[in-house]
Amino acid sequence: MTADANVDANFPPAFVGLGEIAGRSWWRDDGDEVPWQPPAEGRVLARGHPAAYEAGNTLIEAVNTALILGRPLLLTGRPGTGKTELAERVAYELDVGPVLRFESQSLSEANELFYRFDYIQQMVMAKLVELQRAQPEDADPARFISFGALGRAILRSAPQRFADLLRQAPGAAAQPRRSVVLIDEIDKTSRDFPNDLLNGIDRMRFEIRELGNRPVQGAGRDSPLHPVVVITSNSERDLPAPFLRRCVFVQIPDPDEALLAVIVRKRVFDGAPPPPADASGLPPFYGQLLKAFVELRNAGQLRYQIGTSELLELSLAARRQRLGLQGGRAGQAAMLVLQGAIGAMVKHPDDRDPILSALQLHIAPGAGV
Amino acid sequence: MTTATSPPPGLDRLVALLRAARLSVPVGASETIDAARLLAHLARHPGSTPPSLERLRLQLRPVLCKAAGDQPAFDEAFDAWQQEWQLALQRSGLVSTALPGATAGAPDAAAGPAAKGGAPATPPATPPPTPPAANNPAAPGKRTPPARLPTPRWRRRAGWLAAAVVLAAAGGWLVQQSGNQPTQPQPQPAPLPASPASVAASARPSTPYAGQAAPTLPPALPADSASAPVVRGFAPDWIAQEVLRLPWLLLVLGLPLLGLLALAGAPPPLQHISRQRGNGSLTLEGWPPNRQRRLLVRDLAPSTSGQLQRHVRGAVAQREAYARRPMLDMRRTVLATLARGGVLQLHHRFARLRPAYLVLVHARSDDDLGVLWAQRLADLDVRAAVFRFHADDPDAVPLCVEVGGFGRRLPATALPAPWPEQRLLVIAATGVLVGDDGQLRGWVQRARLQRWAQRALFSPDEPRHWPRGHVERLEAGGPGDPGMLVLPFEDGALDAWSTWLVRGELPRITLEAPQRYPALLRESEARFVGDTQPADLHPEPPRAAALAEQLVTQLQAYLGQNGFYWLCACAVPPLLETRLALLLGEEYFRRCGATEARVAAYMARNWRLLLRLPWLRPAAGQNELQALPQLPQWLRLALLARLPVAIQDELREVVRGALGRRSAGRGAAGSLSLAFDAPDDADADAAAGNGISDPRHALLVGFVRDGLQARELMLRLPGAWQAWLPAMAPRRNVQQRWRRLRADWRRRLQLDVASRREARRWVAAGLLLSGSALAALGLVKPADWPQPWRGWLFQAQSQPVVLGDTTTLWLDSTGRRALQDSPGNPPALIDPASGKALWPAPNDSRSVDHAAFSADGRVLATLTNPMVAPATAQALAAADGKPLGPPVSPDGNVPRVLPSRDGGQLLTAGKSLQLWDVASGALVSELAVPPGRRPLAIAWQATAPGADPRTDGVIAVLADGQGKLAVLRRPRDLAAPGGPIALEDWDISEANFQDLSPDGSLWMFRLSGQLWVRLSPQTPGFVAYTGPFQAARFGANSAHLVLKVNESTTRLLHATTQPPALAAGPTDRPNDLPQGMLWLGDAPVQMPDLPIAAAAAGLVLVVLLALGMAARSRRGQRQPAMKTSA
Repeated sequence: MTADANVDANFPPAFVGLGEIAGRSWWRDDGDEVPWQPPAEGRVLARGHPAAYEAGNTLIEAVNTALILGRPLLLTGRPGTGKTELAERVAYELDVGPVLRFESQSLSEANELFYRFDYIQQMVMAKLVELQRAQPEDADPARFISFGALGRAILRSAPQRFADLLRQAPGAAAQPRRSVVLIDEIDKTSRDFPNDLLNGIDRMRFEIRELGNRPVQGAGRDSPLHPVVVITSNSERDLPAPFLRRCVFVQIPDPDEALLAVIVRKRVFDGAPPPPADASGLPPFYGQLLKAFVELRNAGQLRYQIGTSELLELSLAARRQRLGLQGGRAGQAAMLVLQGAIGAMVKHPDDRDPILSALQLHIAPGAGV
Repeated sequence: MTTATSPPPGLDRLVALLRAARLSVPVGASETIDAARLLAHLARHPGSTPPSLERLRLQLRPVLCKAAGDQPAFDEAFDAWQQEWQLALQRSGLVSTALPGATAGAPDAAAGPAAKGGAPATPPATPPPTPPAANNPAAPGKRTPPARLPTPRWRRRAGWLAAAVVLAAAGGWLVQQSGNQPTQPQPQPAPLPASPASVAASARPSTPYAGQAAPTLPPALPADSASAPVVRGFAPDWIAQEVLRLPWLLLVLGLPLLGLLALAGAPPPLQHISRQRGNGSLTLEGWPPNRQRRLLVRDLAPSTSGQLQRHVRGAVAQREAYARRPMLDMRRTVLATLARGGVLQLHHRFARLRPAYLVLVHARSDDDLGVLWAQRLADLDVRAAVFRFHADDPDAVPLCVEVGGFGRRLPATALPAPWPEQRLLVIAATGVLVGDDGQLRGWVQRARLQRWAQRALFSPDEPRHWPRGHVERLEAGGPGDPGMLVLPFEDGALDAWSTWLVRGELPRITLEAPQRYPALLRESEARFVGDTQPADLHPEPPRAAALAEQLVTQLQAYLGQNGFYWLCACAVPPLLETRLALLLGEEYFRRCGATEARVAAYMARNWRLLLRLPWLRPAAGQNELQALPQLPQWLRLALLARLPVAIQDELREVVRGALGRRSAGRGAAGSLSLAFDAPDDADADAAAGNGISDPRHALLVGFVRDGLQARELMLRLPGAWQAWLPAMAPRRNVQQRWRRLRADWRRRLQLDVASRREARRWVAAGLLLSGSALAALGLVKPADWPQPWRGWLFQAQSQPVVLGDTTTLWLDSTGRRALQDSPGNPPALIDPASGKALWPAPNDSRSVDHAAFSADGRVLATLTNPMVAPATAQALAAADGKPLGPPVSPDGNVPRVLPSRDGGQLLTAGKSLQLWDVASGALVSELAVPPGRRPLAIAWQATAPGADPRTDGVIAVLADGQGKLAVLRRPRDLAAPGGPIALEDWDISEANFQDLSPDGSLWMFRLSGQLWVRLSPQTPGFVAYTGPFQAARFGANSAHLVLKVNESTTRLLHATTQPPALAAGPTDRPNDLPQGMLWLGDAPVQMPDLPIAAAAAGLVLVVLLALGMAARSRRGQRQPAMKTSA
């Protein structure tokens, strides 16, 4: 591998959680780049900004370990614990551009992570060439390849060797660069999916059968260009042991009450909740909602174990209705409205009564403004 | 850097510990290599953040631990590794603060050779990580010792508790000893001078009193005449006093306590049955709904689940519902498209379908083990529908109820048509499907189970007892029908079936337990079911007893020890509810010291065996109570009679622990309401007396609360049973006989603690007894103790007085505090043993010319008598030096000040004797000293022993300046009429006056080279000591006098014997004391000793309780019940 100009001399770069970094742009989920803006008075981070993600020491050390070993980072935890956002934060810290995402589905196949070949279009093009309505180079098989997230990351790490393939990989630059690949919710896929990934994800190599089994080999594990792979799982089913052996595993614990308060402040109120605030820094209505949620979650008696996402959804619904806020409903009226929005948290018929009881117990009639 | 003898444990050791912890994803070679790479990287790149143990834990855990449930086990193994590491460092002399994660730590070195990128930054401390020899066939000669299991958490806690108790006891002992024993060499002592000759002479035995043993001398002080301080007055450099022997005291107090505890036996607070009444039934805290499943059903092995959810081939048309996307058949697609002139014609190979399962469980409720067992399939990535079915009439069409889902209810003959490639599992005995005639029952035929091509029946019965013909009938298929495979109801069979689904061949199945179902139950089950009279078993009582004993023996062989003891625990409650039985089992296994995972494994295995027994199968009843399973009363007794006594004790604890789980409230989730009352004290008393009406309660009360043995329980049961049950009682060994004897004695002495209240009463009585003993010890004068006790409990000790440059020193009666006046420094209250100031002197304090402590040691009176200013006297609190009142100004040149015994008044002796009130500083009364005389010494004289201090009289020794002394005695009211009372006038010079005893009863003077002691007026006379002496002083008890014979010899004499004899006392009391020794006399037990002794007694209690708990834990671990009973 040739020496590259943008290789960090302090490899591996450590994921240290620096917060917002001046001058560094970030990318939204849809891939739009958001340039950095100098901080204005009272400005908070924009919604979805990676710097708003809070990572604990356990997570930081696990990410650093994955970076050191060049292994994929397998994240498990309840929904809403921030597994997906971690990839954004890592990409932001390493300044490697947008995250290359792969949304797992039940019918996903491992090869799609690397590339897809459009047989239909090739067949049609072959027919057109045969009818002399298209040029022979239009039937080049390389034109019908579309690379997946991991395939693009591998190509980015060694673009010189695969210049002919790069035109099929959107966003690929001539200079080698590192990438962060997110394989989201791998437990949704079939059982064969992780097993099919074993060698490819271990060696960062795949072969394109349609091009005569052409090998595509990315940067090695000890290279600073080795793609960072983040895999998330909701633990809906167990993953095979050979796959686990190739990953750095970390279970994201449920956030405690203090961290939940921080998350609610950032995700629901964009970091600036309106006054008055209780000890947790939230408006009293939302602080009591948070306590009710923590008690329900820790009791573990619900048929469906609620997670942070349920709390955020219910809090967002309450905020849109301005419950417990200035000018909004409060007291019993707010409670009635909240009952209508309880579906954001109730995911099982048997859980409705316990959740309502807990909310009525914790949310005082006078909470709010 | 390390030693060759004790290399610190490396990464390989951590890996061994993790493998011993049996993580769900075992640590393999790849994880080990990754961990080594990580450590090597950390060694090369230390980073800015300092390494720490917590960081290393967080960094290694993602690499070595691949399941969320394994993280506690990883942390335990890591802690154990860390402890071994630090121990190795301490043995090798390295700095213990070097954590394994530090850059120079052994894990780094251990990781170095295995890591890429060259040698590590530090030389290796341990070999590179290699797997154990068992996993490394390349090194057959090396055998790695088996990894030690991480220490259980309870054992570590108990160890820390025991260590803390021992350390606290040792610390208390050292604190006690430090206040009593001489401590030398002292870092900053300024001892009084002693010439080399005097030091040599001090080792000589006493010559005047030949025939006595050589005394035990305190260590000699170093001679340093160059730093001799200026000493004015009598400044002792050794203090001798009698102190308590704490070990003997502990022995005296501890032995009765030990005996009391030995008699009391088990920890009293557990001896109760907790209960909560409501609707006449016992309500306990049961299990949450999902906990039953977690404990009774193990997770499927990955290989089994993988094969069960492996895709199957199906029709393309079915893919819309639940198939994976079918693969395109390129060849046929291209050919067909070309054939149709370019119109796209898609052809697929086949659809890959997710497998589907239909599970039919013969069960009454959703909590049935079969239902729980089948619900595991729903967790897989398959489509599974679970139905339970049951009908009282085996030939009737049972009603199938869907478990979960929509809860559909439909007859078995109307089961939904199978999905393509759907598989059928039936969990039931073969007799449910096949009739006695060997043919399928009618409803089975109508249900057309043959529609499921792949189907199996899992029978809970033992395979050897499967009825003949049933298996053949079920497995006999028809044309195109492979039949129904019959397998045992075990996980191994499910695994075998999953293999059969994939490969088409059925592997060999190894049963989890041997097939030992009791033959008696197999032959005639109805004979032993139901609470029949034992006479129904057999008309002859001995035969009935033999039959029952034979049944119990077969049960023991069938269940193994774990299951048998569990069944015995279930025999204690009157009625047996399923969840109560599970609670008992969980409690039993937890008390055996099993971890959460092991508890689940034991319960899952044994519960399956127990459910085969007829008594634990729910019976068909009209109501819920009748449907509860129950054990016959005779069987309950027979089971308990088979148990060893130690196991009986444990089962009592198990039942108490299970029944002690109180519910969170009525109607709370998981609460368990039992259909019997918790027996109260009245029931228990009735049972202990004339017998209780309900034998079910009698057994519970007698066994759990009263701790009766099985034989004694038999006596409470109906008379018909007593004829044959005693024949089953086992023969006792010596240990059992001793335990029985002890239990009898406990009952005879009525020491059996049966309730929490009674237990508290006994504890309070024990504490009261101990406190009374301590109080008696503190109140009774040691001098009044009989000699053997006194000699045992007290010993004479001497301690050096560590003084700086001291001019004057005044000691209190205990010798533990002294006011020191040294040149250039303000006076300070010091600890004579250490020389440390107890409280700082005020800044404006001037030199003290005289001081005295009150008799109780609480008040210190100081006197400053400058030449150019009026004298002032003040009373201070001896504890902190705070003034207790304003300073007073006596008249004239005042040489002495003395606080009253209670510290409320001050007596000054100057131009006149003045009595001052300490609080107000007001003059209370005054008595003018006769003209021409001035006081030399003053003292209080009690009017009677133990009298009120306010009635003390005043004694003053006056000098007339012409070589005459007079002793003045007055009542406390100096101004009372009658004028001064000069009782005695003596022709003794002022220079010859020596001392006035603290109680004023004696005074002594030198005359003609002899020492004379004037006795009290009540016994007038003199005692003369004819030997040489330099100075003399009374001891604090006024009964002894210390005689400074010469620079090297000081003697302790009785002050009132004629001639003054060497003080008799303990044999080790020194009779030749070094220079300046002050004998403080028989010091009573001081107040600080009391809490120390009480704390020591408390420590003894704690140690005994800890030992008892540890013994119980060890006993629980020694139980063979923790071994697999297979």
